[in-house]
Amino acid sequence: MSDDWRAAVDGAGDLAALKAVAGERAASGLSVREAERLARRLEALAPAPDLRVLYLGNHTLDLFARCVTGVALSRGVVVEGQVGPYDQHMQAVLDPAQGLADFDPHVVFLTLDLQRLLPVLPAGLAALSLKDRQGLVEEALGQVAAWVEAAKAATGATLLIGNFWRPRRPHLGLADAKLGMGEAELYATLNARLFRDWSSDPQVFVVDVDQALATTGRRAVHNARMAHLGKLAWAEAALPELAELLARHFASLVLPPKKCLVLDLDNTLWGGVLGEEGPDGIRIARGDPVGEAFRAFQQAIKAVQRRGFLLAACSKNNPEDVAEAFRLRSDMPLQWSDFAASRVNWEPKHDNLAAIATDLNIGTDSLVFIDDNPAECELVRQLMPEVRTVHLPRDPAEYAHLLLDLPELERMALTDEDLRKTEQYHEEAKREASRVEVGDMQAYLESLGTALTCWPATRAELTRVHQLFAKTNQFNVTTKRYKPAELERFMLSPDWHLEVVAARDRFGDLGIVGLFLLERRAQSVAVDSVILSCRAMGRGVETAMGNRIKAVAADWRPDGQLEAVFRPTRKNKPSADFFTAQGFAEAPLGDTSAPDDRHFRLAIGEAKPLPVTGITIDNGEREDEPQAG
Amino acid sequence: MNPKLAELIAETLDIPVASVTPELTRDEHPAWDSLNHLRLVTALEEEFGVQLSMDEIENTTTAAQLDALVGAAQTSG
Repeated sequence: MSDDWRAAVDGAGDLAALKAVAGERAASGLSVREAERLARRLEALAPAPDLRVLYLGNHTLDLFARCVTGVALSRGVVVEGQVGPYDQHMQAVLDPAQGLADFDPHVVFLTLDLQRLLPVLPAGLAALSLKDRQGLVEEALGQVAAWVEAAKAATGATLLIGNFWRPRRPHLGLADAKLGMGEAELYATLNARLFRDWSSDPQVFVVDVDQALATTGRRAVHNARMAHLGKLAWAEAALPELAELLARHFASLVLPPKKCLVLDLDNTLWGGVLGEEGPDGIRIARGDPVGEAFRAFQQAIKAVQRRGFLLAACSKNNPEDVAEAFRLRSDMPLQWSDFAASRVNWEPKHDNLAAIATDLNIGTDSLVFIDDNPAECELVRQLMPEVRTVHLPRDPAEYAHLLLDLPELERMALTDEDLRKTEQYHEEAKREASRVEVGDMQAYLESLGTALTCWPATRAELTRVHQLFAKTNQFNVTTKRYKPAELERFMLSPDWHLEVVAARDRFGDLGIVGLFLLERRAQSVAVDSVILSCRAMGRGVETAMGNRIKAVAADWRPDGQLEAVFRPTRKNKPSADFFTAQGFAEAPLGDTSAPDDRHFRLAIGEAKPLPVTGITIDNGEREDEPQAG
Repeated sequence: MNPKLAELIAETLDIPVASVTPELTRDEHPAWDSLNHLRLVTALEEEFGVQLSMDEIENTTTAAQLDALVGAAQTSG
């Protein structure tokens, strides 16, 4: 590490300064010593953490934990780590006094060395019967499941479980392949089952430790001397890649998510300049090595789109040329219909980026901008620092890996809404177009034929509900970011009512677009949260939800008061007038602890449903499963 | 004492390089715990191209001993 950088770390006087120094190394990666130095400085500054993380396992994790803290900081996430006592992962969750209670982690990471978990493994595998070897799979999975069950009872924290990493070679060597549930098969089976067993649990995530170790190289990451002397299952060389993997999870848990990938065209999506070479001259064909590299990049972009990102094109070109190119080159992996928005013109890119964000109804801080031109990239970096700008390297062969490596494009789970997002924006564009045709708002809303379905949220909707809480910024009256476990408790409690709203119209299915959360109190009903996706704003769904809130409140406390709070944030102005529009009266409390909060009240006995135009509402039992999306 | 070794010790234990003397002892320095000892060994093996046995690692308790191991390995190599 350079002396200058080290001095900058040690000299950082506050968190912002330390984040800036750490961020300089975000792209190149940190060595263990650099990460550790950051972690030490962070500890000295002792800022409030974004995440408290508890590390549990049956091997030594102290250095790893410090390394993760450093790497996470380089991504802008402040982690306070704590390592539980060696090999006491069960005790830690069974007896909350052992740390869970005081430390109250947001995340618990569990990693188990299979050779310590199943001591029979190294030498005794071949001596066992096939049935007993298969039994080892259940034994190991059973231990993980028992831990998860105990952990869930003790904490609402997100549980990250490291999978099992393979040794350098099986103990039986080549013959292991012929044993039938030999070591290689055992590890593969265990890891496959781990992924499958926890894939639908919104609180539990399996972390691919085995993959991270393989990426570093199994020769480098297994150091027998360190394992024997220090119970270090992972040599120091293994830590940067593993820490990067965890830091990605943490960033995706706490940082505001990016939503749209804005792509240049010439020398980004294809080789060459369209305006000069024409649609037949650009390099994107199969069989042409350079063309293959651009095809691989387009396919990677397609994969990112399926993670729930919108694509937008932003290019200095003649729009007719681009339209013609996409028409004639239908052999490209990306089609024009993949782009939810575009600006093809000769305007400055930063203006075009702002216009694209407006089109998509998202903030410019949700954009990732990718371009091969260093000048364009630099200009956007300076004028729009909130945009994540990625300058492509000279060689298109590197494009695809660079894209798939970007931490900003990580999502820990995908919902049906993510998988259909582009489709939904095209439906939205059709809706916009028909708004233009109809002209009259009333007629437009009626022409949409919006049908809402409302029902109390269940576990089946938990991932989407959590996503709405985590990601919605604009129509969100209190912007409370609940964790899945807390949301599950609301669903089960008789004193809370969490209701989701799904919408469809004549252009398509919007999926679950909104929700509200009410709390029954002694004399009143409190509106805890009201959230509506921006895709469904401004067509009366707000009022329909207001009516549902009144109806539920009337069931609960017909003589009581509805009480609500609007908590202003930088982004939630679109929901500022919600309560007034629903007939609530503003009632200042003179509460000095949260001076920005605005309080509203409405006597439930006087709360009348307001008329909604062109919307049908079904709030009964649903006959069949909600449609995908 | 080998100046590069002094630097490695200082960096691993996070102490000023001036305070690294041959008399520096594992038992007496709180930062020189067993984990940092292993890291120190890894770092000096990498730096000087030497390889210590597990017994040598366990039995080394002072900076002077590390210095001797490094010196011996370098003259024999």
